[in-house]
Amino acid sequence: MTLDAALSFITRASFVLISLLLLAEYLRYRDPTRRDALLMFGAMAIAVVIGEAAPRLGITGRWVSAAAAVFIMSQPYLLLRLAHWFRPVPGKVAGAAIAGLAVSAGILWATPAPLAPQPTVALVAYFVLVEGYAAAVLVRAARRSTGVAHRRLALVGQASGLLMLVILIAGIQAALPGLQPATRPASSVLSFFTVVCYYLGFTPPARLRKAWQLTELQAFLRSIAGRAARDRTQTILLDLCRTASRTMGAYGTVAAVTRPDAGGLFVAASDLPAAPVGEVMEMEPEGGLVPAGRTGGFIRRTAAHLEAPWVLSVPIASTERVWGVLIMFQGQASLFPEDDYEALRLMAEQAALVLDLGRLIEELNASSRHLEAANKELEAFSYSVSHDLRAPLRAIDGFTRILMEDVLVDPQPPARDYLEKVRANAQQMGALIDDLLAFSRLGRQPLRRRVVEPHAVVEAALEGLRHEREGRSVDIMIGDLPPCQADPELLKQVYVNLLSNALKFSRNAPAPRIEVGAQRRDGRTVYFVRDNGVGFEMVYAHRLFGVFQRLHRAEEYEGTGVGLAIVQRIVHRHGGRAWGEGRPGEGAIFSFTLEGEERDGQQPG
Amino acid sequence: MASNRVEILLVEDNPHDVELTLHSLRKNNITNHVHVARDGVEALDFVYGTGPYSGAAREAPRVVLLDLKLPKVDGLDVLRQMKADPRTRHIPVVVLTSSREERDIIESYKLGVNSYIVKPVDFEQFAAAVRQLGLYWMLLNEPPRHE
Repeated sequence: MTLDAALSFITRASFVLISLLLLAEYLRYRDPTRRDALLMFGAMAIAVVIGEAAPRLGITGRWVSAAAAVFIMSQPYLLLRLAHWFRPVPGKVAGAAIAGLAVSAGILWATPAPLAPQPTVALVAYFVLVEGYAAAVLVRAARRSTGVAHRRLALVGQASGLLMLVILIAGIQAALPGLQPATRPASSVLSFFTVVCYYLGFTPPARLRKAWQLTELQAFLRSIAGRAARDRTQTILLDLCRTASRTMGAYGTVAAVTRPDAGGLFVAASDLPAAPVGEVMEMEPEGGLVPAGRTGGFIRRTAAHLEAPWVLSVPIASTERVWGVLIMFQGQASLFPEDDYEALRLMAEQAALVLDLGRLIEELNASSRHLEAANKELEAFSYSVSHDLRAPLRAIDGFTRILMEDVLVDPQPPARDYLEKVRANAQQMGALIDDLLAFSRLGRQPLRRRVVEPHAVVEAALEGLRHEREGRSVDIMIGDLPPCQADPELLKQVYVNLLSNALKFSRNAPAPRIEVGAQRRDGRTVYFVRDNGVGFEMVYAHRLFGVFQRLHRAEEYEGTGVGLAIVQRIVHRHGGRAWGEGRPGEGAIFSFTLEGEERDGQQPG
Repeated sequence: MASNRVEILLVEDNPHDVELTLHSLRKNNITNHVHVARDGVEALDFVYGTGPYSGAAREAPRVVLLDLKLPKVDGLDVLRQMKADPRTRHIPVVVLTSSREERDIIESYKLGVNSYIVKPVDFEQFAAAVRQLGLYWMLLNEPPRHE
């Protein structure tokens, strides 16, 4: 079999195959556009079948080839019927096509084959004219629409154009037989491409359709990515309406959103000139492509106003939430409605995701505004509380003193002792207020992490504690402290508290010694402050860091019991841990880390 | 007349703090001429010779000891007005307050306060502070001669 014959066979077989596929689709969807597509293709397929089967079945006769020819000649008119769905074909043109078909049929029936040149030319001219006209309509419709439908329409239009050429060549071959050998290859190849284009246009394989859809979706996503999620819902929906109208070639699109309080939908955005924003829809639209006559209420009124015979509805929904419905008013049915529906559904879904994101950001902002306000309130409250609590303390301390110095002049015990106690308590309360204020503020202060050299921080802390070291010789040793990521202000406070404790509790040791150092343990740096002072019993270790918790008597060692609680809070906010070990009479070591405790995202304190 | 001149204007709403401050000043023989204003409005009226103080012209005090938390007009507002007005800008103002808040300190210095003292809870320290203040502003510091 020559290449030529092979091509020819494949072409004809494909015609039959495609029409079978179209038949299956029509039986599945039962819509009018598919019916006309089936008729058009079926006519050609029948012609092919007759041409192939009749000789094999031994059916001969002039009427066989005539019948096949009539079926072929009917194709342009059937294509015209298909094109009518996209652009109304003027009645005169349609009438002329039918008339031409009738005349062609008559000629084919009456005259014996092979035909004389003149009738052949007439038939070819009729075919070419009508087919060309229909093909042009389809190509124009393709150009006006976008998306997958655009590609498929373009392919069908191109295929019809190629078919036109094939018939044209056949006419030339009939008129000028001498050219036959030269034009045969061209005819075969063109026929082959015709059927390929029809195949891709009418029944493209699913993978190809997905690829086209993806490309369309990409273009839409790119445009919507330019939209900030912060944009108002209405702006995003308006964008969606415009894109949808453009994609579908619709008269207009309306985006309806579910009402938060009541049920039902209201119009949130539309690209129609007299946009009916705010109008409430009484009925939920039927999904998919629906004739306008089957709709009701607002949709029906709008469709009537626009003179749109078709309405396509697509949900605007993400997995999180159903926002509403996108309603398109269309002038023509789609040739491939499920493709358009799918592409539109994806676009609407993307729009819904952007809306979801916008809503999340809004909630987050509201939440952080709320938190900020609460923080400010707390700050103001603690500020005024500390101020107002300090004033009476001053009065207590002051008048007690005046009483002692100016009134009693030289107070004797027990009066003097009692009055001293009153003063001491006022002082204590002042210290408590200061410490509590610092402690509560720690929770709210923002953490400013930097690379810090702990050595400098320790030096600064010791400098601040100079008056506590006065009159005593304390041996302070600072070891090698690796740099860390911390808030320098807060780290200094940790060291101030730990060193203050170390100094205080080693006060009564014969040779007080404080060691500040660091160790590497379990892949983390552990900083510590060790002293050889009075120590504590490990049995009570779990109470070390509680607020107001003290392990020693107040008359032995003064303090408010907030120092270690402050240390723990700071260390926790850095994501670390603090702990203490001690032995009575031998001293204590307090250690902390500044990282590594955030594994499960939970941070205590 | 010099003997009637108010040397110190003490602006303080808390009566106990007033008493403690006066006690300390007296103890140290600083001066007898102290006028007490109990809120911001009284303080400004006194300084500008308005309201209940209109009438006899009066020399400016040598120093104003100003509490921040006052009823009616706040201490910072008094400070702002005094430092903005060319008639009173030269009068030394010492803020004497319980507040150790950073923002109060910064704001006061921004407005041109001459000194900022935090009132200690401990009375001995408070008395010492008042004595130092008195000695400094009354004896050591040279006030401008006002025509």
